Amino acid sequence: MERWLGDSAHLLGEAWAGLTAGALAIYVEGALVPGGATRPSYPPPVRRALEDHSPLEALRASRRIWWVTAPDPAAGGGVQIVAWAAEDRGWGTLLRTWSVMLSHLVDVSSTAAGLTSELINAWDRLTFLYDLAKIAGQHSDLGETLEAVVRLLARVVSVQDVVLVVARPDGFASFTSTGKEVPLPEVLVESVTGAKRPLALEEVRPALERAGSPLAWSGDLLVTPLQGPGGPGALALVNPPTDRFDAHDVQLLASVAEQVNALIDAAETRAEREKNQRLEHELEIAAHLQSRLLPLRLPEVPNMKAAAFLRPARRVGGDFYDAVTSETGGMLLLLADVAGKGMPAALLTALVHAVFISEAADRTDPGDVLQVMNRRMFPDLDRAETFITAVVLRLEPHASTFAYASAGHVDVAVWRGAEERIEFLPASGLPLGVEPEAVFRARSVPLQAGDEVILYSDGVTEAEGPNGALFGSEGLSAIISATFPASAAEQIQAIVDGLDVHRADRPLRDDVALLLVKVGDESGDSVHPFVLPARRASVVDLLERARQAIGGHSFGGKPAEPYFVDEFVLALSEIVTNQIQHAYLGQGGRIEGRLTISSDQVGADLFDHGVLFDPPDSDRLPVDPANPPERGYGLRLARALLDECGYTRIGDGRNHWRLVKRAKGATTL
Amino acid sequence: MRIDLDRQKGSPSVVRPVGSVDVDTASMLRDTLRQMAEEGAESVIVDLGEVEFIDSSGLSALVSGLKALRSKGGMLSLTRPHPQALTALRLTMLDRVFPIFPTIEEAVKQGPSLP
Repeated sequence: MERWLGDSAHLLGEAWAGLTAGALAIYVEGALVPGGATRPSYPPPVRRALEDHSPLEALRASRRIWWVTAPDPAAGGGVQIVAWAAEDRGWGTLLRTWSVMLSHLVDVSSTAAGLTSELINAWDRLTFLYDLAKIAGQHSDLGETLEAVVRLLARVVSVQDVVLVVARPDGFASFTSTGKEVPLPEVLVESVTGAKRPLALEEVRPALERAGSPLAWSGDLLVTPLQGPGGPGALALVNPPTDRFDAHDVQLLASVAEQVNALIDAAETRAEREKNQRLEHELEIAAHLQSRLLPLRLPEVPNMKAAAFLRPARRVGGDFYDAVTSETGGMLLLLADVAGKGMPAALLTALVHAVFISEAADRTDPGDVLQVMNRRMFPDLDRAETFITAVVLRLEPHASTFAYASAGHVDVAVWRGAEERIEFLPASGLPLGVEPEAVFRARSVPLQAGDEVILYSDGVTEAEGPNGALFGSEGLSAIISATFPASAAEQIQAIVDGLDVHRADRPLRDDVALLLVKVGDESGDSVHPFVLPARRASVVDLLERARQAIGGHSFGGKPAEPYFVDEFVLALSEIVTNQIQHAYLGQGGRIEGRLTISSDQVGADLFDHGVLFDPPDSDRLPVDPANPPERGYGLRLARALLDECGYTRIGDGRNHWRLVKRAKGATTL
Repeated sequence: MRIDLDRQKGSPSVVRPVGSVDVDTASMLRDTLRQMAEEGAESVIVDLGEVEFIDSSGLSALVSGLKALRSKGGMLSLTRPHPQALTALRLTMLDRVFPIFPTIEEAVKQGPSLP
């Protein structure tokens, strides 16, 4: 086989790889040209297309896009190209041009011995197309790419001028090989709009003349339409009258135009991708910076424990919290929600942080804090046409009250541990950024050991479930009450888990911010809160957690007996399974609660939001050996295994199961 | 869980569940026992020697199997229960419903008899 054929195969292979990150192979009369870029094993549809000589089409196989060109009937040689790429950017056209080009070369070289002028011509065009393809990989800017195209084209076809006009989003851009400006570029574009092939001077002269374009009086002109990113464009060759264009030039211009269209497309895609990468990088930095604005650790105040959580719906968000230790050893907490989401809101959280720390945090009255922040930020918020809701909380060590002020923020939740109920405290003023001289009044609220204050953003209460149901303040209080008295950090995690279970697989729509302060000493019992979807798979996790927690505990100075762990876990399994099947009828839902392990017993409190549990009375009767019931052994087992197995329907539509097993005495006979 | 079957002409069929008989797997045991009742098996031994865990769904499956067999004049007995399974059977008083034997040989020798 001719050496030049190997060289061409090598050149085209490189050009293809540069353009598409794929690979190609060239066949002549079914034989692979050595020096080709690749020697792949093809998937069956590709092999078939190669054998059948079927017309070119993009095939999808092995997660790639494949093309197999058919031999050109006009030329001999039977040249076929097999190529693959990860994406299709109109590469079929390029491959067809290459295949036709190669077919002519093979044809010419087989009929004429030695290098004829036509072969040189064809060779030049082939390397030209290769050079053209290479340009695409060299420039990231479309303007630079098109300038290089124009220069290259002028060199290869040796014409007086090459004119390229493309529509950009901001108007027409023109490029010429002579560097001269194109007068009335839009007229040249209009003269070929709608044409399917290159037009000769005679065909476009009337239109150019009418509009007064000097191109009408060129020596000779060949012009063809282009498709630019912002609309139609045109590519023209200009010559003196002594040098008229012929059919070869028409063919060349047509194929060059196709390549230029592909180049424009590729450059646009790349520019878009680079822009996205830049944006992504900037967002990453922004997210990092925003997380650095948050307090490294929350203030430590005697007799209190605080925990916080922040999760933006996007990379950055408008929810924010901050905290400082006051001069008196108490803590001043801020939770704010900038209206809107994403970057614009995130930028304002930096302002909130700066103003809070530098100008407001030394105030003792939460109302004053908001007043200072509002006055200071008003001009910025007004200009940005946005507002911020915020709540400020002040807690002093061993005080019997706390103070809060709220600028249009969602209610503050207060858990009353002694009474096991929750209270919601309303906003006390307008959002920040609404009224420059707004007054914010602080309220003083009683506080005692066992209480908890929970600040949150509306991303918590307005989280939507699959059927559009909101998590609501009910969801929040259900989880607080089910997991009390677990630690502040564990309760925050339980609320977050509850939100995730509630949302199921729906995307996060709003930022979520949470701040929880627990007052009083933490319980001596070991409390393990949990929140799980009412599904069998999550029960298995819960049982394993319970097994670990109880197994690692000692009762009366002795490690837990294996039977004790097994029996409690079996009872727990029966009750949770009962909740999934009877309260939720297998339709899914949320179960939350806590395991409480003390020195002499293990307890579990389980809450669900399903239907009332109403077992038949027969479940309590002894089993008749002659006619044993087929169902209802779950509750029998649980009751027999536990010292306490109580069910209560709570007024707010929840079911509560309370399980207790004392460490002394085995049930085993 | 998987179920091994041992059927020989003239002697009771042995059904041996291996693993955990719980909510996820109990229906398999129930279906197997019902199928055997349909096919006219007179005497079936469910060998619990390889059952590491059984919950109320497993107990229900055994009772369903027993009822299906009884309705065709057959009988079901249990062998080699682990302590966990024995506890579950006793707590639900099902130890009075099923004949329970420490070995398969004894179950075969004593033979299932209608109470």
